[in-house]
Amino acid sequence: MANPKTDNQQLSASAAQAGTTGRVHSPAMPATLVTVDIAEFKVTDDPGHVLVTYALGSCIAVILYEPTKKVGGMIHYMLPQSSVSPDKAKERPAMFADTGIPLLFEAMYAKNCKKPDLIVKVCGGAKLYDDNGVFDIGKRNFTILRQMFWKNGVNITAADVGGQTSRTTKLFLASGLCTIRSPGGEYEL
Amino acid sequence: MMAERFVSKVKALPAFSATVAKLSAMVNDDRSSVQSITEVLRVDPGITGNMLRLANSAAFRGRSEITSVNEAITRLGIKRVVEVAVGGWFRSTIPGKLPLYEEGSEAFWSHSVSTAVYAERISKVLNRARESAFTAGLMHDVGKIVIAVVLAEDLDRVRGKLKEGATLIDAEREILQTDHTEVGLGIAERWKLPSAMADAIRWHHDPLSAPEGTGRDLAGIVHIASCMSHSFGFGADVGGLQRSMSPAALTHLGLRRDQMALIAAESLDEINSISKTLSGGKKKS
Repeated sequence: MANPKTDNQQLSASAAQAGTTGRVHSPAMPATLVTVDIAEFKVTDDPGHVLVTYALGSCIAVILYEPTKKVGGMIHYMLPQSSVSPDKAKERPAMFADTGIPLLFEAMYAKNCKKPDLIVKVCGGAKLYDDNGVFDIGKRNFTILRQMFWKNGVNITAADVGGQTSRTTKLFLASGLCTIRSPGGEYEL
Repeated sequence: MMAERFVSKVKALPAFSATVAKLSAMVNDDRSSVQSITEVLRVDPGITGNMLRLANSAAFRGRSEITSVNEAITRLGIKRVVEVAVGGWFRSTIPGKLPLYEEGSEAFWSHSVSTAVYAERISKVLNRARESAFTAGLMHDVGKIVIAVVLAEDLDRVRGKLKEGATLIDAEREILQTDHTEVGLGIAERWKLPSAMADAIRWHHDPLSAPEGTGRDLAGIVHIASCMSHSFGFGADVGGLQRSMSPAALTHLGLRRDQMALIAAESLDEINSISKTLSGGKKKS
């Protein structure tokens, strides 16, 4: 593992606070919001960028950040498995966990990032109240992610998953700060 | 009924579009031709513009660009053309903000369109209520428009209930003695929507209470479509995900979860195309 320790300290501190509520003040620098739409992923190394994805319900966002190179990426996928529609998976691989997540990691590697240096955060996967778990797609979205990460030796640094809450998440490329806004307030992940 | 109080109170409630009413009647009339429908559409530049934009949008685009009403009807089909007309008109009735529901008009619109597209696809898979699923899905929350406009003064009380964990319907009932489905029914009657569509609007939170037959099927379809829409984050409102998908409705319809996943996967482009096109290029909030 390279030595991301020092750059990482601030993030570790913020990760430790995950779950606390309150307003998070954005770093005072001009920033360009870059929206990651549903069924899309983006990777950037522009320190002026803030990646944002809105209204995650049962969908999941995976947020990757390489603190020494300041490269970040985000995916907003809807469904666990591409087998439900192989045609759609060809056209829009980021719609599914199994086809989208590998592409996100590959795009980070293409920017010279190494897997052990990546900070990996996950949020979303909420559910409607549903007695029988008929449509708990949020849970299935998270289950497949954990299986894929386990197989590939990826550790999750911080996660805010489940519940009955809608989340909007941002990644500030300059600092690596990752925030979540939900009806309960805004907090760091 | 309290709901009547709302419907009668809203002077601003728009009348049903004359063009849309005429088109809907023509579609159900075997004597109508593409030519006669074109004549009706031609006089409405709003609908014509929306049709052409939709016919050339990502989800419907063919090899060549479409420039005439005739070609657009051929590409989209008459059913879709009427839906475009309804959709464009319905979009124009949505106020800029629905403060009661902490919902901007874009969020409301995005939830309406996604519910319409999911409902239409569910109805196709089940081969039930195919004629009206899109429009019923589109208008299922119409009661919210009225409540939001009339009831600014009760905002905080309803919100308070929601923060305590109540569902939206329960909060509305407790504070307003009615809810958006009952008010929606009043509007559907005033607009003379088909009875199955009115049933779907009235019972989309409680589909098995709808009268048996097409009304119950359609209410069930819209219920599931609306839940899917919320689940996938279209138009998050103050109720958030504090709502439940009725297992009984799924059983009643015989819809499986792999079918729902497929519908979700295949609907995204259509939802995006329709909601952007009919918004007339308004900026997403």
